[in-house]
Amino acid sequence: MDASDSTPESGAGRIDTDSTYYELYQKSVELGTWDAEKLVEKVGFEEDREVWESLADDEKEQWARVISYFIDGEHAVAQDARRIMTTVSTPWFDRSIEKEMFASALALEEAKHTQFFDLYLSNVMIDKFPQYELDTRRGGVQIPRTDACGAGKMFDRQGTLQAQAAHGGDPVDIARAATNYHIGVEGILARGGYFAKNRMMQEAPLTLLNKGFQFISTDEGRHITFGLELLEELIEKERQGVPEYQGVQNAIWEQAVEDIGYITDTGYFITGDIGDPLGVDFDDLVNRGARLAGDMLFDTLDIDNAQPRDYMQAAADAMEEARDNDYGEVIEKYDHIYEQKKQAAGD
Amino acid sequence: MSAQQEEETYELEEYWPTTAWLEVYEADLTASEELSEKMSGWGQGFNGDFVFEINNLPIEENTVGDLPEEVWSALDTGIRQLPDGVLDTVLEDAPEEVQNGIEEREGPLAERAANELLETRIENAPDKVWEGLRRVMPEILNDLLDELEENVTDEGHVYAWIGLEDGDCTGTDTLMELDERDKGFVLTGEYEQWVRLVTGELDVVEGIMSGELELDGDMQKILQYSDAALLMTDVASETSKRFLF
Repeated sequence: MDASDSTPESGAGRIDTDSTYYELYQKSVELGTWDAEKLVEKVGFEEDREVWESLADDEKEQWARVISYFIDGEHAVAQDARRIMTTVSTPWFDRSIEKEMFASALALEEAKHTQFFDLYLSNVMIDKFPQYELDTRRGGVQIPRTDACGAGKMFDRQGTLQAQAAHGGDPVDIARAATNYHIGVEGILARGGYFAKNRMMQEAPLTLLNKGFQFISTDEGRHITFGLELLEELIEKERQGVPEYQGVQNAIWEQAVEDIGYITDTGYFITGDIGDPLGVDFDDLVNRGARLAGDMLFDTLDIDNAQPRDYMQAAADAMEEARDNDYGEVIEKYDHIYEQKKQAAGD
Repeated sequence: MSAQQEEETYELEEYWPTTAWLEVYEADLTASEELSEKMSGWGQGFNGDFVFEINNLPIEENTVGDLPEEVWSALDTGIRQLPDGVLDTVLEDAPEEVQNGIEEREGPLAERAANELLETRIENAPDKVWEGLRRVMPEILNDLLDELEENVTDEGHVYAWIGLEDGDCTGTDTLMELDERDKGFVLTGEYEQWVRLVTGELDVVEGIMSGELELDGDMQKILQYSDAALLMTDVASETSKRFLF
């Protein structure tokens, strides 16, 4: 038997191997198998600890603000992955096994991202996170920095939308949840974070963190493609006139507009609010976010009813609030809540 | 000149993107009460001046004959109507390249001369015009060639500077170098995208989100004055204009 004989034939069996979802799943099997523990063992914490200790307090604070929303975001998406698995197996998606296969890979990958940040934060940046110990699942709250900015509100919203979609939600509910998760959280907030991270690495090269981010961003790229494929399916059925799918594009646009407010606030929180010591540049970050949103909403999904000025207005409103916001005070408030919860958990 | 020909004559200020059009735009910005209101405080404590960077005007691929007909038809008619003797005299001072071009063509002299001039690439046109020809050229073509020479870079870019402060347009200018004047914001796009923008076909926010336009400057200020920034491009699309390409 030669090598070609062992290659499964396209479309053989119950699994549609021509499906984009199958291709994404297969890529996850091939590329998503990195091991967070092994990565840490191989690269080690020492170099990163040395760089971390050399940073000024405001530089550490900027990293802490970025990492806060990544770790709480990963916690939230790991929690919601099970809901995505439920949602993609509903009849609204013709119950295709390929989607479920990819959703299971997504769940594993999100758990691994959580694991990596957990290891990293606990071993390198812990001096900036005295309130990290108590898990949200065990009565804790998000990290005070996350709660202080738009990302925290966005993750809360994500949980609600994913629950609505998974538990009897219709295509409009699913469209909202997928837009929030795959476009808002993964497609703009996280990818904006990678952009910020790349700039910050120029001034503060944290090798292990960078390596982890590289693996994570590759995984997230597949998740975003998956989400856009789901949304395209829903839009296609709406365009075909299927009654239950009417309103899908409207829901996508409304959710995207809502989310850009949270994202703009987070962008300002990690840059302008603290004087941007590691040189991310808020202007460049906004332009990057705008392009990412435009690529997904206009180029890929080609939303019919999009009013780009609504999008800018939502960002402008968020910016106005951000300018008046005393984030330090909000962080202190959440620090206090955390301490109370920690004491209660100890009792 | 017939009534129909009179209807087809336009002033330089009607052609976009010329310095004269920019002055009309300046007047429209100044006249807009809505802009005065929404841009109140703009440019105070920061540089609020804009540059519209219009890249790659199609002057390399287009010829004089590709310009709107009303711009060149009088030149074409004028040359074709000149008696050969007079035309010979006019052509005596023509650059050698023009004379050779006419020589290499076939047909009556007037036809050869007219075709040579109309088939000249726009980017080369200022160098191929001589004093004698300018005397028989329509004024608008003369003005446009001056504009091309003085306000369009060799690469075919136009940098339109718009001074803005506290709700007022403080002046306009065209630059040959982007750094010739201080500015706080630069809106950049290819000529084709600018045409879509100033005709209202492309929304400025959609243009930026899709990457067809690029905005460089303080985004906090843009978001703070988002209504004014949008109104500025709306006024540009409402200011009447004719396109050269």
